[in-house]
Amino acid sequence: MKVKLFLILLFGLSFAQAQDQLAVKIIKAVTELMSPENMKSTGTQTITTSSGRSRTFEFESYMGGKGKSTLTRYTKPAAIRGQAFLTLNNADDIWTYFPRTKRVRKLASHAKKQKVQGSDFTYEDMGGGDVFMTKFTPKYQGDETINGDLCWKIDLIGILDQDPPYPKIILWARKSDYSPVKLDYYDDNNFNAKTLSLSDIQNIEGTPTAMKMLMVDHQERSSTSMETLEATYKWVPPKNFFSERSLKK
Amino acid sequence: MRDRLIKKLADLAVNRSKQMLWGIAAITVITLVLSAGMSMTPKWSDMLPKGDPRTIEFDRILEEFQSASSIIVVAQGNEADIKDFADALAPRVLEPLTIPGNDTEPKVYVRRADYKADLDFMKEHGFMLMKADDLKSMKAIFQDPGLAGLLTNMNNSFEKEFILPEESISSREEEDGALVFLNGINSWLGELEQTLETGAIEPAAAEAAVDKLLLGEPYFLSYDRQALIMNLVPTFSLMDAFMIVDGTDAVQAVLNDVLKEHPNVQAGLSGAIVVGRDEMYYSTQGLEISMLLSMFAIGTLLYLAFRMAVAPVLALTNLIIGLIWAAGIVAVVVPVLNVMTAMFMIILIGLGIDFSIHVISTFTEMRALGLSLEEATRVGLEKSGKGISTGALTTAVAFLALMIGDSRALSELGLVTAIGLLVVMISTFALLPTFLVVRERRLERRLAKKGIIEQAQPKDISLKSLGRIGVLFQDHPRVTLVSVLVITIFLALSGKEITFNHNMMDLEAEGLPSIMLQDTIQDKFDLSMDFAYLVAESVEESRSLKKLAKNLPSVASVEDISTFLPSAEQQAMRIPHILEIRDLLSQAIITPIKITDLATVRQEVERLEMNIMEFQSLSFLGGQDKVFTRCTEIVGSIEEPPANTIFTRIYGLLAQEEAQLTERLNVFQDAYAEYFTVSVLKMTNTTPLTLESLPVSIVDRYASKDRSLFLTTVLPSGNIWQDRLFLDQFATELESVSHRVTGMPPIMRALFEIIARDGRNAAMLTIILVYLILLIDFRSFKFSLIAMLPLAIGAVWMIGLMQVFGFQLDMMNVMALPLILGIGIDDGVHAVHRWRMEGPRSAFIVLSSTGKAILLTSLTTMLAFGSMVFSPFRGYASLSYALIFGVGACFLTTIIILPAFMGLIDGDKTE
Repeated sequence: MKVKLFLILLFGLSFAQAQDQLAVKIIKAVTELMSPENMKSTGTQTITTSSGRSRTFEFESYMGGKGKSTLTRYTKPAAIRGQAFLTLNNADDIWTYFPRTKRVRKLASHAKKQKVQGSDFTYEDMGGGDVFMTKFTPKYQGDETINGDLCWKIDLIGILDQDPPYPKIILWARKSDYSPVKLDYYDDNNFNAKTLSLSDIQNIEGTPTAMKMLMVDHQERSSTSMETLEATYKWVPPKNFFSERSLKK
Repeated sequence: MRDRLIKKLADLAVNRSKQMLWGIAAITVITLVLSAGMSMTPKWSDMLPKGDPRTIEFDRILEEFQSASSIIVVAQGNEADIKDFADALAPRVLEPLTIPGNDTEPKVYVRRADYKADLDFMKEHGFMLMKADDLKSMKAIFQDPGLAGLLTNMNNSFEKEFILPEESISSREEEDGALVFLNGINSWLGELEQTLETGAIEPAAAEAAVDKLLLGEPYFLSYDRQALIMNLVPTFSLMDAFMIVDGTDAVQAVLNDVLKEHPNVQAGLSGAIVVGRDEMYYSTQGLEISMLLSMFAIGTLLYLAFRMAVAPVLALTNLIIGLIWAAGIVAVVVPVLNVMTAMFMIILIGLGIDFSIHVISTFTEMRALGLSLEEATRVGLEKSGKGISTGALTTAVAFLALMIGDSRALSELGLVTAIGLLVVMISTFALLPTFLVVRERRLERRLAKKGIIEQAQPKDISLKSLGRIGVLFQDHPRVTLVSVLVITIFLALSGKEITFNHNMMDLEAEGLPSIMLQDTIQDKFDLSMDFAYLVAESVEESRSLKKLAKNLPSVASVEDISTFLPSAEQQAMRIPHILEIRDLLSQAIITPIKITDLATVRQEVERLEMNIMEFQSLSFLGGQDKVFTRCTEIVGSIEEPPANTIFTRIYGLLAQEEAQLTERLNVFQDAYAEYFTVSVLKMTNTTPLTLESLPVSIVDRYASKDRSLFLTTVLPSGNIWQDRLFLDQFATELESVSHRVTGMPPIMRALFEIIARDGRNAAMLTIILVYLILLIDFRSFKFSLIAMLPLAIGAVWMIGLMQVFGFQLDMMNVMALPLILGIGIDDGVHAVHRWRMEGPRSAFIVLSSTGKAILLTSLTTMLAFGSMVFSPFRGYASLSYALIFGVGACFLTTIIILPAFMGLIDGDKTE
């Protein structure tokens, strides 16, 4: 009897370990997908506030070092043309450039937890990098179908001493290509504070790329949609591209 | 027993007419006196259950806190004009005031007029009210009050703030803080420009600019500075129904007088008291007009239907006396009416007139058959009395079923309407036969005097065309019933789609100035008037409630006494920074500006412009529209190079001849720097702030009369009326902070829920009770069910038709659902009674006689409710439309379905 029990426990343990390994494998693949070595894109960002007012910006964006560095420059409307944001070290360092005064300002390090210019994304949300791998413990929760795609459902539980941006995230990634299609962000009260939906996934240069992203803030009742108009992974940043000099260009 | 009672009343009418008339007159006088004690409350909270914690708390707040009942003056115009207007109005409203058109002694209605911040207090303790972090980051500004030094330090501080742009202007409070800062700088630069241009500056102007820089704008101005708010604290509260009318009228009269002296200013009144007064005024005015209109329309209809001038006179006289009786008795049972119960009179007109119609209709019918006066009175009353009493009883029971719920809106409406209806029924049985007998005898005497012996023969007034329609449905029962089924399915499916309009503002009178000014306040001041209240028993509790509420996503801002009374710990943390400021400033030496300093001054002015430009760009991206607009006013549009801004003008003036420029800069520095130093040093007062040391004007705003309770006011971040989900979120989030939260949002949310629940329960109970009464009356399951069927289908048609015609359900017209169950049942009851009396296949006689009475009663009920369509109070109009659809639908289903059933059930018997 004891042997049987031991075998059952052993089997259960092995099964759980296998599940955890699967979750780690999925998150690793998702991280690789979300953090390509380099990327250059253009897109639009529409912010809709709780009162229904919306404003749309166009931008060009550059990403390097698997998401560790980014540079976003606004191109429209004319009022902010040329204004740019540079994030380094997974958004630990953020600079902004004002074309009107031709000055560069550095934002405080904890600004990365704040919303990016009134949108529903934080600098950390935008930062990419290996946050899911380093600051969360993945748990496989089964399979679910999202918008017709069979997906893995993974709980990402924040590792307290790693200062995770959220205590918990639930992520759904397509089984077909590891492409994430939905992320639910939970707050300290275990309330689903935000939901990111990724759609119109196109294969660009061999990489599945979500051309549309919609972040809904359930508490503020606001939303931010981002649409990628053009994207390439073949772009290679020139030396010292992610620097103050590029920011001013 | 019922038959005996009816016979007795008929006998009394015939044999004791005079005594009956005297008795009626006596009762009418007594009830008229009693009805004078009736009053009305404008508070929506009075519609919640009596023991509801939100109502208790709301009433407690109104009683304990002067600031909870306020009259708000909104003035619009040029900044200088509206400030002058406010300065002129404030002392006038505090004087004893008279009510226009009223000879009573002048009375003091306003205790205090708040329209300026208490600058003296701020000048004394301004730094103790600032956060330690803000003091820390700003203290460098105060180390050199000289022009070059101040500009440099201001820029350093500005750029330090810039490091956290999102954090610095992320919340409403912080956005307002940024605006105060920008306004202060703009005002100070304005004086600099003036001095550079003229070489002189008024000391008062320089001091005002310094005050604005250090303390902000004293007047309560809108963001565009084109509107001003004055908060009048009255000597009475929202609980005093009579005072809110007199007080508002008196203040309005003074306002009108002051406006005449300020022709460039537009101003009006708003706030809880004024809205309450307007609601009462327009709703009662609407009801009075509705009552008159409905009586006139009903009278005309009766004249056309009975073709005798006396019929409407008798019916309406009977109804008016019945209403007086009802009002007198209701005044004893429910002396204070709310917005819902106030319309019970209209319901009674609609329903009460039906009794008269049935009595007159059968009486004239009996006379037409040649029965003597005594016989016609007795038989007529017997024939109509059964239907009337069953109908009235079922309707009264349906109304009483509304009492099953907790909400006073429904239960009191049910009670007063049921009592009123039974009283009107009794008055009809007592009065109308007497009136008819007296009138017939007078007629006989007049004819006898003229030598005419033959008895006056009333005409046959039955409606044969309706009878023929009945026969048609009776002859084709299956086709009729299938058609009804198809229509019912269509309307049921349509009705399922009907939506609920939660916007209470859509129920108010259109164009109501007090409501429109609430919108102005929302637009100009970004201030919702629909705030929630939390009560604390100590300053510490208030502080903690504020902290919790402030972090809620649905909350825009929170106001409480802790803004002016930081905790001892917070004060202790601030003191070292304040002392440092004092040290820095005490050591500062203001040196005259030299020509060699001009480059620094020019450079720092440019730097200041750049800082504001960058602030402008970030606020544009971040959606902080108010900050963006203010920055644009100061530094010009982002898209075009600045052409004529305060900075471009200052640059031009800084280019003047250097000796003159130096002299003028020194004039400016001399004018402001010393006052700046003195003011800042005064603000470095570190005397601990206590409740006792706060000015009365501040304490009164947040503390109860005995200073034992503290009010926290929470403003929502969205519109609670346009988004039900937001209302739920706001109320739920605040309930998580304190279960004692009250105010308009939690009260209305509770009201929506309770009325929906009570209405549903009452409707179910009504159906059961009405069926039981019918069962007792008809002693037949089948006939009881048939009598109820037109009502059940009529109710479905009602909702379906409302949806088809583009109506939405709302807080008022949703009441039509339980009401129609009580009102609509009468049609089926009368028709089935007559059917059973007349025998099988009697559709012709039932519809031509009783059908006509049903048509008339439906029309009179629709006219009575229809008159509310013209009410300025849109809530009554909305209810009116719903009841018109309901009554109309019940009439149609009765005259269609019942003959079809006659054909279906009686078919074999005749064949």
